[in-house]
Amino acid sequence: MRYVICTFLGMTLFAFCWVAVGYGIFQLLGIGTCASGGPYVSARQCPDGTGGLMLALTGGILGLFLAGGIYLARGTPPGAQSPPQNAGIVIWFWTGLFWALAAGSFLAVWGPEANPGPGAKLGGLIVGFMGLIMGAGGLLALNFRRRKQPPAQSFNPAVARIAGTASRFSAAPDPVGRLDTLDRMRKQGTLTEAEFETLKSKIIGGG
Amino acid sequence: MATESSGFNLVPVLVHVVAIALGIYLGLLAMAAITPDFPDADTDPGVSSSSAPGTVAGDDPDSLFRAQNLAPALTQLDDQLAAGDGIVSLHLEPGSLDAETGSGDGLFEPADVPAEVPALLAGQIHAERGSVGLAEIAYMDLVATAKGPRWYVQLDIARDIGPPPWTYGAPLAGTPLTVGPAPPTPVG
Repeated sequence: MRYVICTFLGMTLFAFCWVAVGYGIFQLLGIGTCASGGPYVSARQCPDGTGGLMLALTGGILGLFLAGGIYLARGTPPGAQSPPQNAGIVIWFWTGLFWALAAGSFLAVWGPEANPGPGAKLGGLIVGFMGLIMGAGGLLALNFRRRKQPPAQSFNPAVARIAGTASRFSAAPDPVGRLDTLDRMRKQGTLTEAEFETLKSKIIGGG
Repeated sequence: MATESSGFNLVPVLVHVVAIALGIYLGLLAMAAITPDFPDADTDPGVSSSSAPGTVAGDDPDSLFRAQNLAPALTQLDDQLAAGDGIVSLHLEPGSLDAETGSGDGLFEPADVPAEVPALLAGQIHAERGSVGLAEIAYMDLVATAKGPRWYVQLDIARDIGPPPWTYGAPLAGTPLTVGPAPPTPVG
């Protein structure tokens, strides 16, 4: 139950914040440079709702961290033996944040309904490319992490048999008895000639 | 995303998909509620008196020719300038301040404008011809020229101010005053 609740809350908040960040930067770039307050009436007065957009943008960024925290606390999935790997998911949250910024910025500058406000085009491109690079950096880190993990060992029955036999023999204290057993196994066909020789030299060498 | 269990389990997948869909829906709903009307992108930066700008006289207490009023107006104008933009010309009337902006060399910023100079110019003109004070000045322009920003003062010819000259000029600092100049040519 904890898994379902935390996953649901974390992902819902993540998607909500993703939209808030992307849409917030898109709208703010559409407004462009503006002023509010002061003793005079500004020609470029900030429209109503600008404060809400600022809040959506900054709150969305903070909310993504909160969403990540809730999501990471979800525990083991139902039916699974071990908890999920979280490092890759954290990187996806990171990439999602920066690519939301990039998507909103590029849409505001180059999108089908793009109408960047005064001075917003350059700022939008800077934020867009910065977000794109930062998000891609997360994916590169994910790829690097995967490469650093050792590859899964392929199963070789012969090696496993020798290793198993060797461990059994190293547990036995008497070298003569161990050689005797080994010979019996060779005669039974459990060990090949080469495997027998390998293990025999190990016992004689004191291994 | 990392595989969470060795066998396929539909519950985590469903929880993720439903949660993402709900989050996007709620996000769009919330953002639509706060979407503002975009201001006109072609509007130049400027400020005006909160009362009818045309009714403010040059010698009124709230006239922008006065340093204590012009200084905050310039600050408010600065907030409206886009990054990298400068001022090509500044048009100052008692009740309003408008800027024509651009980018390039030779332009100036609101912070470069000494707020006390309009009153200083009015004082110098008054010393030249006693009938002219702040109330007799129609407007002042500060124009970015090839030789730096220059003031251009136009007297209000609708008032009883006597014969020409009706225009005066000065560099950014306000001195020396030149009499009857042509309007300065902006850079670019």
